[in-house]
This record gives sequence, C-alpha cells and structure tokens, in this order.
Amino acid sequence: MIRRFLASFALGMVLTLIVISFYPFQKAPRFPSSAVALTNGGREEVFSVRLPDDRLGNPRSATTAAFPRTAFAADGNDRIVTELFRVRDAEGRVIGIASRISGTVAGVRGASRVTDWMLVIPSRGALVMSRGSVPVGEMPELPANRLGLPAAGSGSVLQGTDEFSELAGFYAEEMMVEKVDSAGIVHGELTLTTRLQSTVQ
Amino acid sequence: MKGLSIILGLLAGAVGAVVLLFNNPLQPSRPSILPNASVYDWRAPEFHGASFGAAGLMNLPIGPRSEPFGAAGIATANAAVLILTDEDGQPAALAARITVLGETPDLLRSDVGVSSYTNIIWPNYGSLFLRGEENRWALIRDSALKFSGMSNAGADGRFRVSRLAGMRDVIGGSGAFANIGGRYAEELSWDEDNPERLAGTIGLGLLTDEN
Repeated sequence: MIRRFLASFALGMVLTLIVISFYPFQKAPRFPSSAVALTNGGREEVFSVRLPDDRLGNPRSATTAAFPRTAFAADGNDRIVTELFRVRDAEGRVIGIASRISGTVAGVRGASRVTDWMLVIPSRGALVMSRGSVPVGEMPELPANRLGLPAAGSGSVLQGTDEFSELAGFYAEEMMVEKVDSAGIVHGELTLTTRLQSTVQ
Repeated sequence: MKGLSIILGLLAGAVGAVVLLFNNPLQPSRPSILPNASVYDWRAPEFHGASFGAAGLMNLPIGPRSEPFGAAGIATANAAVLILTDEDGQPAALAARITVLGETPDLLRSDVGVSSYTNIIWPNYGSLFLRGEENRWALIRDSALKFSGMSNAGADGRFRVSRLAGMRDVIGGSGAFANIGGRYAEELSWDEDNPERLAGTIGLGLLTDEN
C-alpha cells in the first residue's frame, strides 16, 4: 500500500507541475508591421497619435510636478512635461503606448532642451528615441545624414528591443494641427516617422 | 483501501507540487538596492491600463481594481507618470513608465515578469532611460498565501523586483547623465492612498565609463 501511495504521490506531483506549466497567461495579439522598404536599404515605419483622443490623462497639459523653485532654470525654460499616448499603426489600429518627456537639462554650453520618446508595442518590442540624449558608451550625436529625415524635429533611436533589437536609425516628429477648440484643446495628428537600418553586418 | 491510497497519494502529490512551487530553488535571484545607490521613493499620480498585481499578472478577475485598455493591442500594458522624491521627501524628478506583461512567463521557474521602460528627468540637470525585466513572482506568492489564510513571515508588504542577468539597465541619458551607465533595483509596494496602484523605491547605481 505504501508503494502504491508513493507512486500516486509522484504521479500527482508530476501531473500538477505539467498543468501549472500550461497556465493560460494573457498575451498581446501581434499586428503585422507596416514598414516599407527604402531605396537606401533601410525601412520606414510611421506611427501616429490622434489628438485629443489618443492622449492619456490630462488633455490640456501633461503632469507637471510641484518641484522646488531652485530646481528650475532662471531663463524661463522651466517647464518639464510628461505626456502619455496611445499609438496607432498606418492602418489606424491601436498597437502601442508612447511617452514623451521634454524639458531642460544641463549642457556643455549651458542649459539645453531634450525631448525623449519611449514607444512600446507589447507584441513587438520597444523603441527608445531622443533628441538630446545619447546611448550609454557613445559620443554625443553629431550632425549627420538622418536617412533622409529633416534635422529639425528629428532625433536618434537609442535602443530597440525584441523585434527592434538589431535596428538603429532615426525618427522625426511632426504635428499637424487641425484646430484648437474653445477649451484650448489641440485637435490634430502627431506622427512619428522612424527610419531604421539593420545593425547586423 | 487500494483506491483510497491512490487518491490520497495524488492529492498529496498535488499539494507537494504547490509547496515546491512556493519554495522553488530555481527562481531567479532578486537584487537588493545597493548601499551606495541614489535612492528615490516614487508614486504614480497618473496611471492608465492594467494593474499588474497578482490578479492582473495571473489574468484573474479578482484583487485590486484593474482597468486594462480596451484596445487588444495594448491590453497587456500600462502607462504611468511617476514623481520621484528624495530622502527629504521633496520632489526631485519626473518620470514616465510603460510596463508590459512578459511574453514568456514560466511558473515552474517562479518567473512571472513584466518588462518596464522608464524615462526620468531631473529638471535642469539630466535625464535617463532605464530598461528593466522585473520578476513579480514574490507578489503572486505572498498574495496567494494571504488569500489562503496562511501566514507568511517573510512578507513585509514590499516586493523586490529583479532584472534578467546580462541586461544593461541604463540605456542612455542626457545632460549630466550623458554617457553614464549603471544598474538599478527596485522595491515595490501597494500605494496606501491608491490601493490599486503600486508605489516603490528605486535605487540607481550609476557608473561612469571609467568604472
């Protein structure tokens, strides 16, 4: 009887662990990439944010913390803004979330402006992008050919993860304002155009 | 008698498996905040999407209120604005954080994780991008023990979260943090004022290239 109990014990343990290993965790559906090939060998993918519908949180101004006055620059460039958005692909489907932080940081020649973007697509990975930040271990960005993107309003991709992990390149941010309503809310579309190339030799 | 011993054996085996799971020797290590790290407490005054407490991680309709995004593509993600306060309790930095449920959870290794992307800005000083792979198994285990009425002497209401080995946590930065790498560790707890939201303490261990 003891042998039968021990055999059942082992069987019960193994079966339970097998059942546990198949636990139905939630997974994000994967939407196909809408990237198009560029003639120079790169790829372009455009993401968009419809305003004000895709803004998460306060639609008029993003959260600004009540920092001590000494933390701010004396020249009036003291506003740091954090914004959160839903992000759509070229077909208008919501596929990701993005954050945008803009503010003033210390620079070599005094204060400088920085704009940071994080674009996260749950089923595909993330793109960390910035105008003013540099990846760890690399030199500050120098003026260069940005794969055809205009210098104004553009920056570099600092890192990609998962599906974007072996890609590097640039992005451009463009705001198309349709109107500003009586409440001061901006209606329009914000587009993020990314141009990436493979880093694999 | 023969059938009873088999049933008892199967039940005891199932209980043994659960006990083994809760005391899993294979679970990834969870780093503590280093003594020399810059430490900030944070809270999320703005939060949108799924709450990754125990119920949210396990896809169960119980526990803290969770309001996932309606769009299927982002139902497994959340976004928050964080305010970081220094040791004097003064606001020191503002941050955005986007968190996504891991695509490859493994209960047998006690690894139920989320990927988090954090962008912190210190006004007029610098900004940092952080990437973390957090294992929130401790949150699930402690919640399960509490739900079952079993005491958990090790639970103090805070959960250390780990990163995967080999991951470079600090991706990049600007201003005073340009070209500075490093690691970070975090402890999470439920926000006393907003029970459905997590708050935490983050310890940044920054390294210059010379380190």
